[in-house]
Amino acid sequence: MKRKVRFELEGKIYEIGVERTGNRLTLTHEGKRYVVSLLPEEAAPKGSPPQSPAQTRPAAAMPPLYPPVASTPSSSAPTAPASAPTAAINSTGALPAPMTGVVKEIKVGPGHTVEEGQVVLIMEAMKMDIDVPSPLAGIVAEVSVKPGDTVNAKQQLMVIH
Amino acid sequence: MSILRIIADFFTSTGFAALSLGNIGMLAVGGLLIYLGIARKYEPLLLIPIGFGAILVNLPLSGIQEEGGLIWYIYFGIRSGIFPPLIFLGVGAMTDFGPLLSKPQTFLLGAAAQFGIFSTLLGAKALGFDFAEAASIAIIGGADGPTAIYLTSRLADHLLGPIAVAAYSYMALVPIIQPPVIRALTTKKERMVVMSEVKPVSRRVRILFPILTTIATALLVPAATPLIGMLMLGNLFREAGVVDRLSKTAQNELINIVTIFLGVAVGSKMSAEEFLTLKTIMIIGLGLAAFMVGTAAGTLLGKLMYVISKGKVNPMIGAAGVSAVPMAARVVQKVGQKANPGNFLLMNAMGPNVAGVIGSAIAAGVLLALAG
Repeated sequence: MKRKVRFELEGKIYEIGVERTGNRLTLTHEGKRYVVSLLPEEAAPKGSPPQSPAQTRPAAAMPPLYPPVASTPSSSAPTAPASAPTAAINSTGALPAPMTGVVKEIKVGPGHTVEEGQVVLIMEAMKMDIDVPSPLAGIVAEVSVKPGDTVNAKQQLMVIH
Repeated sequence: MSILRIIADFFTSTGFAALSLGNIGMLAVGGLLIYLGIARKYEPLLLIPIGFGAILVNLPLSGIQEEGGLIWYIYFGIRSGIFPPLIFLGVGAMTDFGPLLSKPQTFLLGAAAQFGIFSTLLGAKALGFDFAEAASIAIIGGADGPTAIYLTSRLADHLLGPIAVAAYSYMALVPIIQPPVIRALTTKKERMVVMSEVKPVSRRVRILFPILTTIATALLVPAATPLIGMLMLGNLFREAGVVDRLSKTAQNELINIVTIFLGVAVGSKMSAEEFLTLKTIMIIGLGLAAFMVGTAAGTLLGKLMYVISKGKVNPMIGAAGVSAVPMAARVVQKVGQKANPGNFLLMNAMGPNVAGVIGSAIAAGVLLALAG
């Protein structure tokens, strides 16, 4: 379901398209797409307005809506350090690489809420894109690889718990 | 002499006057192959030179295909049986037999998928093809282009055009042909089976494998030696670790150069008299049947292994036993992940897949021996 939202920011009127699937919002503005994840209230970094339902992935890295900057036009997530709850990691939820291959795209960043089965990372092996789903619902605590990395089977890709 | 007469004489010396309806039909076929290669990305490395070769030989009067013509010389590589083994040298250098060596029992699946070849042989014989022709058509079921070209050039080279086109088209269509067959023969529970990881094998095993396989195969099926020998030499280059230059040349420059000549030469066999016939339609139908039976046979043996292993083997990996590398393994990965998003069968499917390459080359050797 797609909705239009209009708002005023610093005297300029913006109109963006908002589409929600699960806990992910797809925002469209002047032909650019931004994918953001909704975080539970308590996971919001301090300082963000408590009434804000949408927490962009990592807040600091979200490009301003104006001018339509070139960065993150697609759904590839910046993996910059987040102010989100990286501190609370424990070794339990390590997501291993299912096979030897190259990390092609990382779909989430630290602090994102993921659902069980949600594709969190795309690997490439034998010239084939392979979706790696999250084995559990939780919060991404750490992303251990970056796009372009060659990983061995069982190597830790990220920590979700 | 009137000016009209001169114009008329000139016209009869152009290709237009000699262009037959069959030629025009084949120009369209050549154009279609180029289109499929470029727009649909169906094996473009082969279909583009094959399509262009078909166009070249259907433009009359150039003499390009007659003795002493350009294509006549290029075709030497097929007539002599040199090109396909050279392609295999590159394939060997590109292929990691690790997944097969890690789980040697998957070799059986690569063998089972060759069953499509032998069932199609009987089907083609029943449709009236002689043994040499039927064997050449049946090898399409091995899903291996160079093997199909090699065997056909030895046994029935007048069918080379349609057989090569059918073999490469079906390889491109593996992702469409295989899933329905796999789904029809397996339950969702079977497709969801997660297999244990493919463990790395030691360098010594990787080096010994090509040498021992060559010796064993050449003694068992001598006629398969040119294909298997070159495949294994390429693989030895890869695994030796000290001849990187040779390995890189075999899997890049050499295979690319040979591919250009192989494609054009195969295309040159697509003359109207030999291609626009009922036989071509039958070959395309039989080739499809061979492919589907091969997929089914591999999957069924996979099911047997599933039972024997008490559910540890995913029966689908048997479908990867047809040697279309790595397309068939990708199909298994895709269908498996659809049944269970956490299921990654790619590497497990590569075992039967690379076994299929060896299997179809051995099958070609057996057919050659039977026809000889």
